[in-house]
Amino acid sequence: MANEMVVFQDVDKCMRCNGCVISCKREWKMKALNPGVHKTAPDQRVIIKSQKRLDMGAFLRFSCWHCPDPPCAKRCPFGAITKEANGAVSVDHTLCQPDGFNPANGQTCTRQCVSDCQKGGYPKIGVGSDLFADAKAYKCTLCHGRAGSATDLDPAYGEPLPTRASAADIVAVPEKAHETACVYTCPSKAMKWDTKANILAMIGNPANGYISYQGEGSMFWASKKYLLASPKADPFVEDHLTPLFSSVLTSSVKKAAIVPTLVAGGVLAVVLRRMSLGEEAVAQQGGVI
Amino acid sequence: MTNNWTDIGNSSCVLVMGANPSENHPACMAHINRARDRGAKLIVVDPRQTRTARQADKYIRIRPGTDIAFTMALTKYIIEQMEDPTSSVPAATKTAFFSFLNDTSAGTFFADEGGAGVPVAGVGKYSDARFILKADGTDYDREVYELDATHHFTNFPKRAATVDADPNTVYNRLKQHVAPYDLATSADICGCTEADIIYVANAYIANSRCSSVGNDPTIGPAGGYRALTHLYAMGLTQHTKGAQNIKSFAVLQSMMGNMGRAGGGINALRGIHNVQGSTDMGLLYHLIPGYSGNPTLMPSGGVTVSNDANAFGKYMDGLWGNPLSGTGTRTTYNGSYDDAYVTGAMGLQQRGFWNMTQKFFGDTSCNDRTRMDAIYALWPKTNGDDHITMFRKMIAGDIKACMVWGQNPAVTEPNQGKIRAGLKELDLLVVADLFETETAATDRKATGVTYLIPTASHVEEAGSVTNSGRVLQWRERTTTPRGNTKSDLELLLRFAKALDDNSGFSHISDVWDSLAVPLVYTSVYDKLYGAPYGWTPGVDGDFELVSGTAEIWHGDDAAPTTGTVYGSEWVSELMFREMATNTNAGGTLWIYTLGYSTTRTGQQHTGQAAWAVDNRAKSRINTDPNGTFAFPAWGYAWLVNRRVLYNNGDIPGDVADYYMGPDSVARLFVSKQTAVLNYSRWYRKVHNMSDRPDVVLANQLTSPHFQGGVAMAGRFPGHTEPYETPRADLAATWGRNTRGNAAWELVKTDTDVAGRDVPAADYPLVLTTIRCVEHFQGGPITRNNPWNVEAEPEPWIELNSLDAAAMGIVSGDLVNVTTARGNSIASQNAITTGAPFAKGFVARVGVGLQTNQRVGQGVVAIPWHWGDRGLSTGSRANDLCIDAGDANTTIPESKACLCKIEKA
Repeated sequence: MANEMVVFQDVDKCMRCNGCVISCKREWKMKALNPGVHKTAPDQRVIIKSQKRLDMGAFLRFSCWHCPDPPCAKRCPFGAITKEANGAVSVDHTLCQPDGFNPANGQTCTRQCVSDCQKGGYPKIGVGSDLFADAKAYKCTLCHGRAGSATDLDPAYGEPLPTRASAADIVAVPEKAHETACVYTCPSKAMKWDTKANILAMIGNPANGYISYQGEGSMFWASKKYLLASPKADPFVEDHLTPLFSSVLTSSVKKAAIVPTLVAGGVLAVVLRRMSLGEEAVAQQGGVI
Repeated sequence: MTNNWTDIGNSSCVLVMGANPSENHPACMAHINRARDRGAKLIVVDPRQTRTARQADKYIRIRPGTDIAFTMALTKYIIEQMEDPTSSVPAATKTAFFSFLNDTSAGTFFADEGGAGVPVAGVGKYSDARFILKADGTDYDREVYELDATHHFTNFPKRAATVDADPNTVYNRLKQHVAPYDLATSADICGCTEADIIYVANAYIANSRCSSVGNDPTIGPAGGYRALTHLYAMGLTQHTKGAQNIKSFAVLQSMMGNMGRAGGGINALRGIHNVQGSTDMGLLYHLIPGYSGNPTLMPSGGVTVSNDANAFGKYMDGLWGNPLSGTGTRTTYNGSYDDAYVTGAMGLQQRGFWNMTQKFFGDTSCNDRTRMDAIYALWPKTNGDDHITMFRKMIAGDIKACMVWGQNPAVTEPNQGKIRAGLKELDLLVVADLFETETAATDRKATGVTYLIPTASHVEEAGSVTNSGRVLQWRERTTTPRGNTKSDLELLLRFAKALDDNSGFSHISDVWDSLAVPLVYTSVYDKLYGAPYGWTPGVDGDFELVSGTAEIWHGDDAAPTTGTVYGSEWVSELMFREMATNTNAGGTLWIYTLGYSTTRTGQQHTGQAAWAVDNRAKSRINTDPNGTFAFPAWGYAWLVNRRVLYNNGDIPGDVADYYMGPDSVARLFVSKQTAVLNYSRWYRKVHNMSDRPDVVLANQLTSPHFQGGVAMAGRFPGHTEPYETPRADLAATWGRNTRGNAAWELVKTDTDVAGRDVPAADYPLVLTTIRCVEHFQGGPITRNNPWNVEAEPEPWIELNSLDAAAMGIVSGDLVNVTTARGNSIASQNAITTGAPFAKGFVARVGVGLQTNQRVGQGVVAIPWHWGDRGLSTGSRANDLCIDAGDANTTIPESKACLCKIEKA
């Protein structure tokens, strides 16, 4: 029986070196289309959000949370999005047809996967990878087909990824035989690749000193220093406002002072988001490379 | 590094000064985090609140260029706390502190008569604190110490019974030296609070040998093990007193007993994966490979400086090793230098030079005086030029051709106007690089010829690299060079062949032909390179198809295999074997001795299995048998695989031989021979540096550098102001650093380098340079990588919010930073061929919020990775930086000069 796996980020140890971002791009052959813009995009499945240069943390990893009951999977007309046994929500690029019509069920893709995401709109549609010529949905798939145990591997997705786990670790958890690219790369060892049970036990053990965590599917944050705010439900907030606020939220200023600002910002964001979604869709369809 | 990367995990307190591992050495943070997971504290002392500082348990901001004032204040405060019976330091800690300094455990010493080392009761093996200095401080007060009838020690330092028993003990002289560094004075110099200094001093006391439960690090901080490690990088070295900055760590760490301990030591975070290897190879202008100085004397009839019939012997005599100037007891000079030609009489460094001379100049059979003198004459004599002087000589026409290989001086060198003016005047400029760098594209005179030779990248060629922790590791060739690029080895061999084909090596063949029994050779190239390394351009086909049988050990493989390797993988293997073979069996690089050995035992730590490979740089056994984070069979650490220098047998499992301790580490340098002669001649020299604060020259008796009426030769580190300083009042008292020669200027006297006379009123801010995680050095690699450019597309300027408010600048404003350098003030359009830039350094300002001020008031920080070539372009920081060099090393003072800001 497959273990449900988790990517865990110790927020206190992250230094925003972007090693995870670059390794993700390298392993999945993604482009560099967003100079200086820190948001998830077709070519950017993982970001470490912060308030650009002067921010010094805490740094938060934003990527698909791999919901236990993912709305994106339910709404795809082509069944391209699957909740895998190991916890990953994967996208089959051979099935994904943005804006396409599926005669089998009479449904048309209206990019519901993006707009219905409850965690910040992680599937992104566009030409983001050198692997595909057409616009497809991209998101973190926990390195589907390339990470996990031997039985998780699928050559169609590329070479198996390496691991830093010891032989004893792999005996205990076979899925550690191949780590996701981000976890393998993390120079400060801020990230872990382990079973959900193990990660929850680690966070929950008082001896480890964690004071807060966020996450539910296969992505978890935890911190020993900061009270972590929940990821927003709205992609516009995630892409545009969270980077602005992440440092403030997680620094030592009085958090009460931030709340009214956030509420106002949230309302504004919802309005702006509805306006901008259309524009973004146009821009992404245009496929400016 | 005295210790190494993985050893940082043993530390109970990591003190970072002048480094920013979070952004500049990201992999280092894994080891710091390992220590922190075990309970260690992280303290950062830095002018800039880096991301490392943000993660730290304590951050202390100081003014750029005041590190010595801080460390000497620590020294003074610690000594006071230890001596004060009423201080809060536990009595047991005080007792342990002084018993370490007064150590009487018998050290092992090597007598004039030779033979094995003998323990000398009561002298101590750890600390020199009781040694007595001459009143003028030039050296230890020495004597001939007679242990017994058969053990004499010439020049043995005299010792006092305790550190307090004589006014001239090292300890008392240090106490005298640090007297001016009281808390108030030092806090004023550093711009920190007295509480900051006390905090770090207390951390030092609580995390050193005097507070530790034993010396076994495996019990960890939770079990009471205590050790403090010092991490530093360019933030400490890029000052006019950079070398003294580091020496101040040595003083502190030696006093606190943290040298040679797991989790202790002084650790330089080096900026490039193989920069330790490059200094091992003698790339510095005053060295040849193996940290030996440049030969200076010609044996006879030479073309340069001076001639001496005993030139070879005198050079050998100057290396660490047996004195070779006599026979018999070899304590008296007889002028014959015969022993310089007897391999059995040589120390390890001497034997390495002997082997290297023979290999480099083609006569491996010579063993007599005449032949050795003849090939020794082929060594280039005297030093080259430092990096600042070199470009001035190009301007003057003294240097007409320049080969730039994997460097980008048109971005990386300070006072760029002079650098690019020098490059412009060259007749021939050859750049070997992956990309068209700023150097390759620099403006050139009409008659100048420029070549850009495309080279392979580091993943397209193989060889050994040496990391900061002195660990040799093999780097494999993952793919053959793309397109028409060539590996560095192939290019070097092609250059050698081309030189030989055009009589460039005739001086060598002339010597070979003139020998009484002339050497047999077909060509100089064939003798020196073609035959030993198996490839001759134009004869042997494609370099990448040259092959041989070698060990192969990929990172993930459990065990090595043997198979056919090709191209640089094979040629570098041959070169490594030549270099790292046992020096006493002909290896050419003595510090790498036994890095290649067909004997699979030796140089092992306790519990370490036999080596699985001959080429130990390829060893990939990732286990840690003693639990000390030594990983002793991963690669091979130079100095016969000891992972922590000076460890004196305190660290469980480390290589246990008599090369280890502070009392006998010099033994390694002295000799591999059983019979060591006149050992004490090299033993514990008073360490001299050539720099002197200028205020001492003018005002000796009232200067804080001048205690008790005398200056210390090789003085203890003393604070001096940066060359350009906003605190003229402090410069008058503490001086600026010089080479001790009033006529010698640290900056070249160009009219457009205003230097020390810059009025702080015109340039009120201190400029310091920084790096970011996304870009690397002068930028050709990362500024041409779309992913890196996407992550950090442009340079920026960091400014304190109070300064910004005073100048009406807000975050995101485009501003211009200028300094007194002419190329900063004038438009650069005339001296650049790329995108036109205005004068100075133009970029957008980042102003911090209250809680994340990166720089303090009065300080401006700018990154220096950018130039006008590549996917990402931006202003060059080094247009602004001063080329005042460290008085000892000539490293420029990139971390402190004066500047001003105006809105662009």
